[in-house]
Order: sequence, then C-alpha cells, then structure tokens
Amino acid sequence: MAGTSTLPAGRSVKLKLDRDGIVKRCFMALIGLYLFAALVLPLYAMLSKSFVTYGFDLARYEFQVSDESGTVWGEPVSAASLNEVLGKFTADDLASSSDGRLAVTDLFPDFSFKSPVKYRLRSTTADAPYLVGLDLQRTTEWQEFDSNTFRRVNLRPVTTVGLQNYVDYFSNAALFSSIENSLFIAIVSTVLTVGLAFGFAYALNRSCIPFKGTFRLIAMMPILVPSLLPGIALIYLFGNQGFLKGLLMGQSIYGPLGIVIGSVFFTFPHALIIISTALSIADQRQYEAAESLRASSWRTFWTVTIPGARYGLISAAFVTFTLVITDFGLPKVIGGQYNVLAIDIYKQVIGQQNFEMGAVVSVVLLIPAVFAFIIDRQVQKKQVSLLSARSVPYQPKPDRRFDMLMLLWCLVVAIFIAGIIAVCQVAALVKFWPYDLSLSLKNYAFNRMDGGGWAAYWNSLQLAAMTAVAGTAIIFTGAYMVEKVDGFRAGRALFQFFAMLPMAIPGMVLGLAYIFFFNDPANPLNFLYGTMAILVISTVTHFYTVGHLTALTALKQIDAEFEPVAASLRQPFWRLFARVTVPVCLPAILDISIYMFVNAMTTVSAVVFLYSTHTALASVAVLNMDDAGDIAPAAAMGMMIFYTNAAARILHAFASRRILGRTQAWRAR
Amino acid sequence: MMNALIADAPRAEAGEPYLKINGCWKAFGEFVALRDITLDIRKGEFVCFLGPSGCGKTTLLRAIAGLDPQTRGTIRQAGRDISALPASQRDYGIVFQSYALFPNLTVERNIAFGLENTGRPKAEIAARVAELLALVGLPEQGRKYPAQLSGGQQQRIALARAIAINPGLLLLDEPLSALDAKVRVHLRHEIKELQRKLGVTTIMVTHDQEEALSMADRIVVMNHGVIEQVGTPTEIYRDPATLFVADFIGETNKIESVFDEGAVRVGQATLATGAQGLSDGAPVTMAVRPEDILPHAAGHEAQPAPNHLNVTVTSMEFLGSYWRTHLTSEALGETPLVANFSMNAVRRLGIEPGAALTVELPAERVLAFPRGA
Repeated sequence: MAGTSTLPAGRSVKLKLDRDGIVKRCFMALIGLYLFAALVLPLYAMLSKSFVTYGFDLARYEFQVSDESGTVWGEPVSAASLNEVLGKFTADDLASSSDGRLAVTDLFPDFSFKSPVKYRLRSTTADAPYLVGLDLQRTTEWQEFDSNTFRRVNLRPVTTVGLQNYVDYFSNAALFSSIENSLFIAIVSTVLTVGLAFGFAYALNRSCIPFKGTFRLIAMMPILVPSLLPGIALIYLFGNQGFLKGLLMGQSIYGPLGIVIGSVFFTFPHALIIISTALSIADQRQYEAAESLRASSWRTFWTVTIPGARYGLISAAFVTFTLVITDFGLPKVIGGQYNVLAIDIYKQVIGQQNFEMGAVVSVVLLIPAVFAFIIDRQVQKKQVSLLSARSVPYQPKPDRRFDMLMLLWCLVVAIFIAGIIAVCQVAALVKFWPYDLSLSLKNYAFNRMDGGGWAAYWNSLQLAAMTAVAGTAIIFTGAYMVEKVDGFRAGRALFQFFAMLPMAIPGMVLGLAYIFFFNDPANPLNFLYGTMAILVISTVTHFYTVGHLTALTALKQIDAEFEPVAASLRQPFWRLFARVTVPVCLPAILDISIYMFVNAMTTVSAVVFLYSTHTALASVAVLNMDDAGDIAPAAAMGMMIFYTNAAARILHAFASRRILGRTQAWRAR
Repeated sequence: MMNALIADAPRAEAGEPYLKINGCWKAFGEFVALRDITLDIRKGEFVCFLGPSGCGKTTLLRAIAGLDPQTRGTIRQAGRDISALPASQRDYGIVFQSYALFPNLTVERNIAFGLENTGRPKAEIAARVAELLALVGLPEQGRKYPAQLSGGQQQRIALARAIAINPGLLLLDEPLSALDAKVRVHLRHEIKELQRKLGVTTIMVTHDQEEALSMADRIVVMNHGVIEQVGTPTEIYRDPATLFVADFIGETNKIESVFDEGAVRVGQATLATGAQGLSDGAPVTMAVRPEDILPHAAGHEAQPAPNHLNVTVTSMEFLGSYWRTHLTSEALGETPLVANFSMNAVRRLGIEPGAALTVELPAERVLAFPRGA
C-alpha cells in the first residue's frame, strides 16, 4: 500500500464560515444568552444567597469613653468585652438580616443623650461598617461623638459565607418537618394518581367501553385550571360549612387530606397522557403469542402489559411526584396549618422577609425535583427504543364483565373531576353559600374585591398571549439551532443543557431566584422588575423544556438532508426555514403555543413573587381573594380562567384544522 | 494502491482535470475513514465510487460537497481551491437516497427553489421549470406534491431540482438504493442518458456493482478508506488490480497457491498465468472467474494439455441463462471450483452431476495476487 498509514501532521481543514453559519451561531448565542440571563444567573444568585448569613460581630469594634469633662479618655475597650460584662446580647440576638441595625448605646447602660460624656468608636477591620444617622462609615480611624450624636450610631451586620443557614434550617424542627410532610403528600398523591390514571388509561386503550372521547375530554379538564381550584371546591364540599362535611367523620379537609385529593385532581391528566401513550404502543402479536401459549389473562397482564408499560408508569410517577412536591397553590388554599416546602418558601419570603432562609428552602426543594427529573430523563430515553415500526396495534375485544368494570372506573373518575369543576361553577354563581342559594353574577364583580379586579384578568390574558407568541418563537428557533446547525458541538450541547434545565426547577424556586437577580439595584436588567416583561420571561423560562422537546421531536422527523440541499442550491437557511421547516412543523408549533398559553393562564408559583400592583394576575387573584376570605369570587375568577382556556383550546383545535387544511394539503396522498 | 492509479494515468487530454483531489484524509476521532486519497476527474466524466459499506465512499462525497470537510488534503474544482469553502460557496447539485424533496412544496416549487431569490424574472423561472420537467419525463406532474408521486418519479424531481441551477458538478449519493429493482434498472439508463445530454461531470456513490458497471465511465473501487483501483468498467472487471477488487466485482474462485516461473502451482497442477511482477516461490492467491472456465469433453489421457484439468461435476444449480456448476479435481486436491456453463455447453457435453469432463483455465484469465498483502 502506498503512502503513509497514519494521519500526517498538520492543521485540520476547517470550513470557512459563510453568512448562514454566522447568522445561525448568532441566533443560538442570542437564545443561549436569554436562557443564561433568565435561568442560570438567577439560580446562581439564589444559590449564593443561601450561603450568606448576616450578624453583628462585636469583636470588630472598639470604644473609648471620656469623663464628664469630655477631655480625659478611658482605655479603649472592645464591644465584645463590653457585652460580656453586661450580658446584654446573646448569640441569637446578634444574628441578623441584611438590613439589621444594633444601637451602640445598648452597650452603655448609663448612657444619657444629655450627658457631657463623649464617645469614640473605631472599627478594627475594614469590613465592619456602622451607621451614623444614615451615613455608612467604613473607617478604622477613631471617630469622636458627643452623646447626642452617639445615640444615632448603629452597628451594621457583617456578611459571612458558609453553611450556617443550612445548619439553622435543619435544626429548626418546624421547618424540617416540612420535608417529611412534602414527601408524604407527594408519595401518597403519586400512588393514588398513577393507580387511578393507569385504570383509566387501561379502559381507554384496552377495553371496548363507550364514550371514550368524552372520558378523555373530561380527564383533560384539570389542565385548564390553576392547581388551587380543587382546593376551593373541596372547601365548599367538606370545609367548615361544607354540606358533605359529615362524610369526613371528624377529619378536617384542611391539611394533608385536602392536599392529597386536590393533587390527585390536578396531576391526573399529566399522568394519564404518559400512561396512555405507553399503553397505546402495545403490540398485538405479543398478546396473540401469550394466548397461543394459553397464559391466563391475569398472567398476560403481569408478564406482557405491565412490563410494556413500565417506563410509562415510572415516568408518570416521577412527573406526578414533581408536580405535587413543587406545587404551591393547593397547600396554600387548603393546607391549613400543615406546612410543606413550597409554603415555607412563600412564608419565609413574603411573611418574614427572610430571603436567605427562603433560598435555603428552595435549594432543599430543588433536590427531589432535580432527582426526579434525572430519573425521568433516563427512563424516557429507554421508552423510545421500545417503539418499533413493525408493531401491530392492539385491538381490544369486547368482554361484558370487564368492560362494565372499566366503565365504572371511568365514571367514578369522570364524576370526581367534573364534580370538582361543577362545584366551583355553582359556588361562583350562588349568592351566599349555603344560606342563599339563588343565582347571581355578583361574585364576578371582581372590581369590588381585593386581588386586582378585572384588570388582573386582562393582565393574565395579555401575559398568556405574549407568552404564547414570544415563547413559541424563542423555543422553536432555539430548537432549530440545536438540531440543524453543523459543527459547533460544544455550544450546542451547552444550549441543550440550558434548555432542559427549567423542567427541573420548581416555579417557586425560579420566582425567588428572579427576585434575587432582577431586584438587585446593581443589575442592569433591574428595570424589568415589576413589569409585565419579567412575568413573560419567567413564564416562558418556567415552561421552556416541554416546548423545546416538542419542537425537537418535530424537527427530528424532518429529513436531515434539507439543509445540505438548500446550501447546494445556494439558498440561505432562513429561506428554507420560512418556506419549509416552519410550515412542515406547524402542528407542533401550534401545540407549543397553546401549551404556553394555558400554562401562563394557570401558573401561580413563579409569578407570585414577581407581580406588582399594576401587573396582578388572575391566578394570583384567586389566591389572594381566597386568602382574604372571598372564596366565592375566588371560585368565579378560577372559572374565568377555565372558560378562557377552554375557549383557547377550542379555538386552537379549530385554527389547527383550518391551517392544516390550507397549508398541509401535501399530507393527503 | 498507487501503482493502480499510475497505471490508469489520464488519457491523452490536455489541461487540468475538472476535479482534483490531493492527499485527502478524514479522521473521526481515532477512526480514519479516508487515507491519502488522490484522484483526478475529467470534465464531463461519469465516475462511480464503489465499495462495501464503511469503505469511505460517502465520506469522500461529503468532503467534495463541503458537508463534512476532509481532515487533511486539498480539493480543487475547475481550477479553484474549494478545500475550505462551505457548501453554499461550492458549485454542485446533489441528490440523496432519501430524495430530500420539500414535502409542503409542489413539484414546480421544489424545482424552482434554487432559481427563486436570484433575481430571475418569474416567467423565466416558469419556463426553466417546464423545460426541466420535460427533461426528466414528467411534464404533467408540476402541480402535484411529492407524496403524490412514486419513488422513481420523486427521484427524477430531485434530479431536476439539482440540475436546475446548471451546476458544474452533479453528486449522486446512492440515488437508486431506495427503489424497486425494476425501476432501478430503468432509472439507471435514464440518469446516464441525461448526464450524457447535459455533459455535466457526475460522481455517483453506490455499493451496487451492477449499477457502477452499467453507468460509469470510470469506477473508483474503495475499501477501508483507500482507493483499490481506478479504471473503466471493463478494466476493473477484466484486470482487477487487487484480490479485493477481483472478489468484490463479480465472482471469482480463490485458490491458495505458489508462484513459479510464470505459473502457479496448486496441488499437483501447474497453471500458466498472465500475472507478472511476482517472485518465484512467493505464496499467492490464484483467482479465476467462473465464466472464464471453459468446458471440454472429458479427455482420457492422464496428463491433460497445459492449463487443462480433469474434473468431476459434484452439483449444479440452474440460474436461468446458465448453470452454476461445482467441480472437483484430483489435481487440485480438496479445493472445489465453481464454473458457469451455458445451456448449450451443458446440453452438448451432457454435463450432469457425477459426470467427468475436462476444463480449460486460459492462461490470460488466470490471475495471481500476492498473499498477505
């Protein structure tokens, strides 16, 4: 063989970047930058905040006191030793927050502001600030004060970076018990939801029951309402004045019971979609083989059905678990005194203004969410390989007894779901439950209540529309760049990681991270704080991943050779993008936009930290009206969200059909 | 195989070749997919890259197209160094196995895709599209969508789209592999005719030797990232430069033997060979094609004529136009031979399983390749 057999030394040939390559990289960098600023930086800000503690370090200050003449000075003495002698402040008293103050006069029991005694103060280190009036001092020089000025001197806390917040958190029994509560609620809800959804999906895919379409429609309804709406319905049914209260036999609906029932309601459709997909890909031939081997139907169920659906079941379990453990609305409405992690974040931040502790709870909440996310991703990868193009779809055979059982199952679930919505509707229309049951629209007069009024509803509509449009554009373009750019492998992998990240971040955590990042006056993006824009950004980011995956799936189905062909025809990529890629992916694009719209209407968790007086939202208004005791108007606002989402869904179905009919004529053979 | 390349030096034609590939390597991490590829392609030529899957033929095509650049080496097209140019700045049209037709655009819009956005007036584009549709024999199909056409029709549209912009080079990446056998044979002929009519320099990648032999002006046989041989279809078939080529193209009997004074020794037999450049006593693999083995009536002398062997028929398969016949010869020992005999010969000589006959292995058809090379 002639020539050498190993690669000769030298530089590898690299193609020159053409205009397309540059434009594509710019786009990807832009959207990558968006995700970096809207996700990575805020999370980083939050994480670093969770390690910061504030406290007064008395060892860093020294005082000198004069006699009555103001000329003869005593020995310098440190504040720490003064405190030791006095026993005034305990270690707990010295812990503080970012804007804590400690009056120095507390260290001098005989201080009087009228006395002629003078005081001197100096910091022994440069990072020991104190206030004189409103002026912050950072000097190690002695400063002299007359007694009248001295009473306006305050020490400022110094920051320490460390694990102290975590130590405090885990030694606080009340906070720590929330972990237990959250896990308990999440696990119980997951078992119930996955069990119910499996039976329901089994009925839809493997039995011959009637009204499958109606059942499916009803099962999807909870997606259209905020997660806290079932809480309101449960209060009406089983609350202190609920007409079914007797059924609880003394148990209170406020607490774990209510949270679990509500969680089953709002997570049901999510679990159903996943399990139903897993069951729908069954291969008829496996069942025929089992039958020919004379396996009993019970044995077939355990050896064919369950293994075939196991990835779907695992995935559904983790999705449900994550939804419940990160949910905030439901425990807020019906949790009573029962604390869970998401509530703790809210209480620490909104109630106690203890942002650092809020950050710590957020980090704790991140752990199960990230864990569930990673396992779910692993399982999803395996699920794909189960699909085979040669599978023969399963055809259920009628079986009277079995079908009756399945019908009963579906009826029970459907009545539960439709019932919850119906109770909310009735509550919204009834004048004064349970005393005056005549109908009226007075509960819809939102402008008469706190919570933002009708303006909140219009804000929500605006947010949903903007999120749908901007979010879909950003997500689809980003996915296109990941999928269809050649080379630039490291950049694409990083981008893909950023795009997957939001799914692992609970909304509460994202919202709190936004406070830390955007509310920082030093941040040039600070102007976004309190605007509609930050609500759009947080919502797009919060729901980024599902849209991204939908877009990727659609793009992967497009022939990878379109780009080379267009390049060989010397056409810019954007022409291919506009003329071919977008029209071909239109069904997926519409799906992403409706997903963004519906979620923007219902989300509470991320935006509850970020709305301002003029950007109040309908979903938050439900929360606040409920908080204020206006439960009927809260139900009415929840129903407004339901009507809107239902209408958007119908509009979407209608528009999809029309657009598909017009632009996708090529699909028909 | 450099000697093969030199043996096939460009025929008396002046000027630089149209496409000049020089010392190209391609590495994917540790794996080397192309090793020191040097190749010239003349203007207007139809060249096939032929080889088993993984031989590097598609990799070479993608390097020429600028889709996956070579790691080392240069490529010049029409006197221009295109080694580092992105695809959009090169001058070629390409047809893929998947056709890659845009599903949401009509056939007309597909063909017009490369013509639009170039400042041409609409009427001119329409005329050109009509001309191309006529050229590929589908004048009535312009308003249909790709999904409404058969596979063969789609492939012709893809071809029309590729040549619409009058590219200097046409690249075909296994264009016929996804089609039925019948359609494939038909399209082979059509593509070849079209290429001749347009005179466009064309490179086609294929793993189908029949396709390569019937369409190409020259075939580049590749294996394990190197060029084994470059030559016309008859050269490749009649005078394979390596055992790999002899074995990959057509069928061949391979028999381990020893070279000795212009002949190969196999068992007790000595067969004269046209092979040259081998040293005496060297271990070689003798190769002879089944159709080059000529049948004669059984001779009765114990020592047959030179390059004749006394054989016994062990089994026969009827393959339509000929009989595939398995033979054994005492002189060759255990090694069986496969020969293709025509219907006529079988009838005339009464060849049947168990029959004895004499076969001739003409010296110029007996090839020998060094072993272990």
